[in-house]
Order: sequence, then C-alpha cells, then structure tokens
Amino acid sequence: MFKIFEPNKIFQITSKAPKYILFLFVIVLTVGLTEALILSPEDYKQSDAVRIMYVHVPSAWISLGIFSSITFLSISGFIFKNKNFFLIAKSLAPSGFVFNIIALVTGAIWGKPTWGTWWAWDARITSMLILALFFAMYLIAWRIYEKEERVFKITTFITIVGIINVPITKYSVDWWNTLHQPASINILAKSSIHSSMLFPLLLMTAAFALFSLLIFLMKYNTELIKIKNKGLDRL
Amino acid sequence: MYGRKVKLRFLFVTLILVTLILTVFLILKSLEENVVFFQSPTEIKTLSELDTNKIRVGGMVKKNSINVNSDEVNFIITDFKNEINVSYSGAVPNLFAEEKGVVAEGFLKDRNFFSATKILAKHDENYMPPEVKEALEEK
Amino acid sequence: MINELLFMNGYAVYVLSAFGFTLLSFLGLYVITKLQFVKEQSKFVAKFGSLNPKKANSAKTQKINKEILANALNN
Repeated sequence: MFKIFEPNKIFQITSKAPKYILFLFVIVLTVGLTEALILSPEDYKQSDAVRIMYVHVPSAWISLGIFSSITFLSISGFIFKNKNFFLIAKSLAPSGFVFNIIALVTGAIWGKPTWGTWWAWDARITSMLILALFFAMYLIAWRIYEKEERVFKITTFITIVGIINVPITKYSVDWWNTLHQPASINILAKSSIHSSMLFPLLLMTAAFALFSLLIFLMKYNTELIKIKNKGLDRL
Repeated sequence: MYGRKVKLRFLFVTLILVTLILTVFLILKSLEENVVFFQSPTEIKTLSELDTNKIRVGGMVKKNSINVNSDEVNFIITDFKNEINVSYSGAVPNLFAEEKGVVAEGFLKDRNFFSATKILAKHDENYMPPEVKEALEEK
Repeated sequence: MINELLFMNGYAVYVLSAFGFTLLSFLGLYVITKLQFVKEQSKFVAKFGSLNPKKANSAKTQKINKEILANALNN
C-alpha cells in the first residue's frame, strides 16, 4: 500500500528538489520581508510593533502543524510497521523545534512593548513552552536509543503524550482568560485582520513552510544516505 | 484487510490516547483556578472571602476613568457588569489606554479597591491600519 | 523616508531584533543541516571507494547507491 513512498524510488526526487526549493524560498522570503517590513501598514493600536506578527504567527502555526504531522506519522508507522514513516517524522522534527523556539522568542520580543512584559505564565505561552520541551525530548530520544525497535516505540509514545498539548495550545485562548489575544484568523468566520495585513502574513507563512520543506528534504536525504552507508558495511 | 496485529496496535494506541485525554482533561478541570491568567471584576465581587495573596484582575479600562496624580495612576477596570478601582504607581505600558484591555497584578484592599504592583496591557485580535479604523468609527 | 522606515515609531529595536533572530535561526539550521548532509555524503563516497571491485559492483545494482555517488560528484 505504501510502496509509492519507498525511499529507493523517491530519492531521485528528494535529492534533486532542495536546490529548487531553496531558490523558491529565497524569492518568496524576499517578497514577504518587503511586504512585512516596508509595504504593509502599521496597526491602529500597536503601530509598527504589529510587524512582529509576521514572523511570530507563521512560526507558531508551523511548529504546531509539524508536531501534529510527526504524531500522525509515528502512530501510522507504529500501527503499520512502516520504517519510512518514522524516517519522515524524524526529518521533520528539527525545523519544527526551531520554529517553536522562534515563536517563543519573537513572542517575548512582541510582548515587551505591547503588554509590558517579556513573559507571563499564561495558558497559551506556557503550553507553547511545553510543546518545545516535547520537541526537545523527541529529538534527544532519537540520539539516545540506537536500537530501531526501541527508538520507534519511545518516540511514538512521546508524540502521543505531546499531541494532547496541541489542542490545548490552540484553544487555550478561548477556554480561559489569557493575556494572549484570541485567534485572528478564522476559517469559518470572518477574520479580524485587515486584508492589507493578511497578505504579508500569508506570504511569510508560505516562505516559512518552504523553509521547513527544504530542511526536511535535506535531513531526509541525510538519513537515507546513512542507511545506505550501513548497507555497504553489510556487503 | 489488515492483519490482527495491525488492528490490535490500532486499539492499543487509541486506548492510550483516550486515557491520556481524560486524565489531562480532569487535571485541567480541577486546576481551572490556576490556569486562568486573571479574574474579572465580577468574579472578585462574588468571592466568598477576600483573597490576600497576589492576584490578577483583568477587563477593560473604563472610559474617562484614568486619573494621573503626581506619582500615582488611578483607573477603573470594568467587565461591563461590575467594576473595581485600581491604583498603581509606576510606568504603564504603551498600549495602556481607556476602553482597552488591561491586566493588573497586585493585592485586593477590599472588594472595590485593588492596589496594583504591575500593569499589563492586553490587546485584542483585531488588526487594521489606522485609516480603516477611522472609517469604521465614522460609520 | 529611510529614517522613518528605520525608526518604526520607536518599535524598530523590537521589530528588527525579532526578524533578525528569525533569520539567524534559519541560517543556523540550514548550515547545520547542510554540514550533516555533506559529512554523511563524503563518508559514503569514502566507504564506496574502499570496497573491492566485486562488492562495488553488487552495491551498484541498487539504483539509490548510484544516485548518491552521482550527486556527490556533481556538487
């Protein structure tokens, strides 16, 4: 069923793709940065501080998205005993972790001039910190355990426990009183963000997603070569 | 179809997930008081006994309520049902303004009076350029 | 004009440090990932070079091995 995703078959594509993705990423990022820093308007209340949103929000979205994907892949890999799913999950993790850190740091930088504090033990911010800890655990587990069987089980367990934190992060601003503002983007209802600011936000999201894809592909290729390397030993 | 082992593993993962979700749900439910970042003036009014610990009160700064004395700022936090007087000495954040969100951290003197040691501005999820805001207000 | 852009109503320090941190993290992650990739690739090439002809030929029956070698030579 998963034969199409056999590493041997897709390597031809994954090994060539990074340079094109890098090219595309640089273009989208350049346009996105111009929009975000220069062309987009200031906010009526936050003035130019609102520009931090263009790096903060996409990073948070992508790190949550990546953690969810890793969980889905690990569980599927565990149920169907598919090694490749674990490799994909492992390769996704580094960029997810870095985006999580970016979301936390830029959030602190945004909080200082607007809220008046770098940090607050608010439900949204704290659950984002917990997500970063889960990412760290996941990455470290891959380095500690050598035996495949064991590392697959342990990383799957980490993602299963960690995934519960994802809806909490997402809905914390609706469930409880938080310092963090509720979501501006709504798929079902009208977004509370003006189109002149939505456009750069979506552009930056596209750029960040491309960066994740780039890092994923490079990491995935590295993992495949590592496997083939071990294969040479066995000849 | 899938083998028996696949189905069992699926059931296994589902059970772990359901158990964990229930556990976390119960823990959060019982910790609700600590998970909320601030209380509203209405919640303060209905407190059975006065809390002497450091707490946070949040809501809107009432219109025309900000009063700046030599080294003290006085204002009223409202949730449109109840309100509470706040006094604070120190610098306020840039976004602190009338009819905007605010969270004050400090101590309750009584049910109507709060002495703040820290003021945080809370902004909402609406983002728009100043011109659009003006146009909206004219409507 | 340029001054105004750089001033950002006083928020420039915050805005630019947030963007700066983001871009530096990108650069860092890219460089680390690239280095790991290059290291693994050159390890593979070195190991392949040390194989005796018979083993090398049998390794070459796997398409992916040939591709790794070809990519390494092209870079």
